[in-house]
Amino acid sequence: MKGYRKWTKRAVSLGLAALLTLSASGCSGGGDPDGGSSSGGGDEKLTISFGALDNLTEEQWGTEFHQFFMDKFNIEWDFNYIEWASWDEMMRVWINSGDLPDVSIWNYNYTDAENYSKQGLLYKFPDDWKERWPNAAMAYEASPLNTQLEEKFGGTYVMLRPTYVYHAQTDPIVNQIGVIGIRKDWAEAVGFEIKDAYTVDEILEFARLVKEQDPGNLGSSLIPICFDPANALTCFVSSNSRHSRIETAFYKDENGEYQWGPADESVLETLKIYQQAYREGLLDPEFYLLNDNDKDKFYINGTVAVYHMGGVAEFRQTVDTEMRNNLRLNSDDVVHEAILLGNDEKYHNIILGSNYWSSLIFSPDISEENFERIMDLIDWTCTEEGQTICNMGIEGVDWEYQDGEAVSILPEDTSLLDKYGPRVESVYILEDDFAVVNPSIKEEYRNRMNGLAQLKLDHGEGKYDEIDWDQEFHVSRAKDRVQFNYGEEYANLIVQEGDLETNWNSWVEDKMPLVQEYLDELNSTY
Amino acid sequence: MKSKKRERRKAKSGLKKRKYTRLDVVIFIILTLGAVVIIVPFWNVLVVSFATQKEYADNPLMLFPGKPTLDAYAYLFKDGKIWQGYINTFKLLIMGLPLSVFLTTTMAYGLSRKYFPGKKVIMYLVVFTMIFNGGIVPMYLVMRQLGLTGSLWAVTFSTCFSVFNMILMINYFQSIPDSLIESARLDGAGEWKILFRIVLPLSKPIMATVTLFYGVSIWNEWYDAMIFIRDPQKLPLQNVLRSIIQETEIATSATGSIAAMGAAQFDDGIKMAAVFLTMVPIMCFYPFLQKYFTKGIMVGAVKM
Amino acid sequence: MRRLGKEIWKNRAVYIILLPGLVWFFVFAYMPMGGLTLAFKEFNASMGIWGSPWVGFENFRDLFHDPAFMESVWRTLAINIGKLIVTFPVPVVLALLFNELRMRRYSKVLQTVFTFPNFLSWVITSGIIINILSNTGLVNGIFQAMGFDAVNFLGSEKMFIPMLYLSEIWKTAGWSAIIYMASITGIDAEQYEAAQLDGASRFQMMRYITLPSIASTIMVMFILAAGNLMTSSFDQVFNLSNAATRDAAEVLDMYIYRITFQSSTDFSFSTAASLFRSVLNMILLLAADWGAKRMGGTGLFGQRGGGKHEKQKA
Repeated sequence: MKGYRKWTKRAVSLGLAALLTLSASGCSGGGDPDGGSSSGGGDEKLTISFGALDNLTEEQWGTEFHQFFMDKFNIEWDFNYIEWASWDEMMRVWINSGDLPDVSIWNYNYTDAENYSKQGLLYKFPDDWKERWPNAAMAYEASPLNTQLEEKFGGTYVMLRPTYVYHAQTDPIVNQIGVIGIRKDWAEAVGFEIKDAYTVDEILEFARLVKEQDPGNLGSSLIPICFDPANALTCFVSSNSRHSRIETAFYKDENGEYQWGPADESVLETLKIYQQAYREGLLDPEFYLLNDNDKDKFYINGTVAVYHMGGVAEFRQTVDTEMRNNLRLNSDDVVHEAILLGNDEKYHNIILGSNYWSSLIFSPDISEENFERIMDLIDWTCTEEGQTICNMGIEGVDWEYQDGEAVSILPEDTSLLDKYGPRVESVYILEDDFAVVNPSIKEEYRNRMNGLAQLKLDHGEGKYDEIDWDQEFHVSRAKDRVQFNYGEEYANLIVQEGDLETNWNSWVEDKMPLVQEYLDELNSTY
Repeated sequence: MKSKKRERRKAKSGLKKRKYTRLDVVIFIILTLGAVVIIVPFWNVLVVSFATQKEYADNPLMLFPGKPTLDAYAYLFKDGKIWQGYINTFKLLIMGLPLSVFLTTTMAYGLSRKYFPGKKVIMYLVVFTMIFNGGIVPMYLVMRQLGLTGSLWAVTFSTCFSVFNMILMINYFQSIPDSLIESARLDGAGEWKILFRIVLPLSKPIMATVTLFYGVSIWNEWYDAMIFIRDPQKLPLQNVLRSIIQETEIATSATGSIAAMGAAQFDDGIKMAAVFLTMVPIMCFYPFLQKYFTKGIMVGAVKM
Repeated sequence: MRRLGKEIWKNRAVYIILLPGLVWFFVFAYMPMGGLTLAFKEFNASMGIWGSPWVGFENFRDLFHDPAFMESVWRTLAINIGKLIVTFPVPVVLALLFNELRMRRYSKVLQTVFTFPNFLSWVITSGIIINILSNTGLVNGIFQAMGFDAVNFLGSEKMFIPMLYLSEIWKTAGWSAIIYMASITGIDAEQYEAAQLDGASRFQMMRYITLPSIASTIMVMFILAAGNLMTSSFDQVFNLSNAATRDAAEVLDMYIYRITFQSSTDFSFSTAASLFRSVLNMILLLAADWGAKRMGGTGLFGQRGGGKHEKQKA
């Protein structure tokens, strides 16, 4: 069945390519993976500058995988590494001083996108780009926001990177937050029921049991729940209250009036749970120092009972490899993954209509050849074949077709990351998409994650919130001033001494003048 | 000046003859305790970098790791970024130090001349830059126009002048007797000759101090490198250290090598090993160079 | 006029010597200085700094409208006044103690130890400090061994400012003491000899000879420190703060950094904030200079704290 689906898709894209070659002969692009006009040896070698969040060593650049792309597209990379911690800083300096690399990964936000496109600081795509690079266009349109932005700006300036294109986990698409990993062996040891969905309270109960009984014999290095401030926001606050979303803190109430979520009583209730977890010592006592990387304490140090895994099969695979290598544990015996519900047993973290993470932007000064060459590459990586190579490595070396199915032949104790380093050439479609079907990821992990995604929908409230486009596209200084980092704001509230309610009240009061201004603006406009 | 020093030493030796009193003991203890407070954190860095995670978690008070391990250093060695950082920082030193010292010396010498038209204006313009600057984007635009962005030269040029060091030098140059310079001038020596033949030989202490100040500030530089450098292979040592301490990266790059080592990763150990490796050169040189650091500052202060 | 020309010609060699430095200042300090005009403009990158439209004082109006801005100004002042009170006397005391320490060899060794941390970057220093103050670190280890509960040093807003002061003392007090030690060296030895003959105790000598003799140095240093009341050590705060202490840590420099890079405002807005900071600094420094000169010192540009040249970020 799966093989069939794949085959038809490939046929369609090939047909499309043929059609295009006929209609737009001479222009490069198309879905033909090998020896198409795009990668003929006759083209001169181009140097493409690329601003990305990964760092590769000389040695890694020299490996077969990266060489494959350089040869195929006859390019050389001028790689501009951006540190995660200074991502916003770097991009802002580069964009404003007109020194963008040919293509870069940018942490999209609407206000800046509007500003930049108006000021001509981003490259405007030629009007016919979708016909010339149909696979890229197809992936692009998988994120509905892309089409919206195009209308707003009168052309394509920003390419939001789609999470799911070919292989959505569910319909409608839900995002990957809200899946936690727990230590199954410890749960069994303390007599905690293994389920597919837990409420926040149940997880706290588990953490409490682990803390009391310390089944792993870890003493002071045990961290019952390992959340950084951002994960804590997701898992304690957003999972319990619809009014403080990751996406936005503002919502429309029943009367159609805009309100500020964090000032809602329901958020206070979630903060109480959060603080209780902190004060009982269920969180890392210094959770505010953690960042997302610290989730590796679960599978590298083995000191964590609960952490926010995210519903991506590849993450689960990482847990498996790392646990084997670092802790000599078989993750299938010791790890259980589940979704996290609010205490009302509903799953609240669903918001429809985004399906993207970060974006690609191009330098306004990019040469036409360079633009075309990158688009050729992007377009090819958006084909099924491109996706397979991006995510599985080189055919015949890392994987091969067996009975029409791609099968990984990578030894069990190595991963593509070990072998090649970050696969930065997978520029556009995020890895999550292919991870749903990636044969180098154990099938049971994939099925499990897809099942959990479906479970979120089953536990949903029936009707879903969608992105509020009015708010998304609103631009004003009042809005700029209320862009708070809620993960950090809440963490700050949690560790403050004294009564939470009092602190929360004074925090709300503190922010209210700015918030009110924005609310008034929203309410009078929409 | 010299005779005064001798007198002072005499006075001191006069004091020395007295017996040690309780006051001496108290002072000894206070200062020794202070030194301990300064040394212990450094020692702890070393201990953490050599200990296994389990051992350190069980006993954070230990003075010596029971089973010292080189895992953290092996990791950093294998990772290689810190060595690349060393190379880049040395490049910055080689490029920046002569330039900084040359610019500062010439400016300071020129501005230490008693009078010439425009001296005040120049002084004001120079000091103005201590308080006002155009901001990071205008600076970046200038670097870009010069084609320097992404190159270590951008870091060198943006940080190679310190008005503070220049003022130290001016103060010193002004303390050189005018008669020396005047007589050289009467002998027909030009300004360059006076600077190199007369002023500089008399200014060794301040030259040493300023050179060292520049050396240290280049060694410690990270902010401009963060803004201007684009190629990870070009990042100086402090930036490498920062990314290790803040774990901006360790997770992705660590997986491979750590797994190969078969050891559980000990983040703190790696961080502290990196801290140690970054400060070890200053640590080694400082005791021998300390007198040059203090001398220049003292020369400035005595003038008060 | 001709005399001026003659003077210039006479001093032509000086101008040539100054030339390399002046070129540097022109290119790397004054060419970017045009960016200051952005404070009165609405920055439009495609029109460039000069082409962006003027908006008068609109940016400043917005700035003063932002409560976070004024809060950060007051916070900076409060932190720095506290810092002045807490950290300023330490080097003076250290210098006096060193002067009284009679083992000269040992004194040299101690001086090396005390002055060393000043030459480490805040990146290193904050790494060291976070290491010993963390929950599983040395200090909490000692606390627990003594039977106390672990203290959350790094995540407590209350502890943050004391931590700034203490880390500042740890890092810089030894070095700052050098200035006073130098000035003690300059005291006429005859005074001590005379006092000794009169049978004065060492404590009395310290109280009545040493301290008064360096009083003017202390005063000048104090005034200079007061001139830096609006300047915070950006590196220190930036590297020591975290999510839990972000509010307590938002000094003016951090505020400017945040609005420059992390919130969706244009550069003209953050330029306005930097310009405001610079003007405040200038006023304070001029006042300090005036005060220092009145105290009989060489004024602001005679000397400053010693290798502690803080550059303003962003």
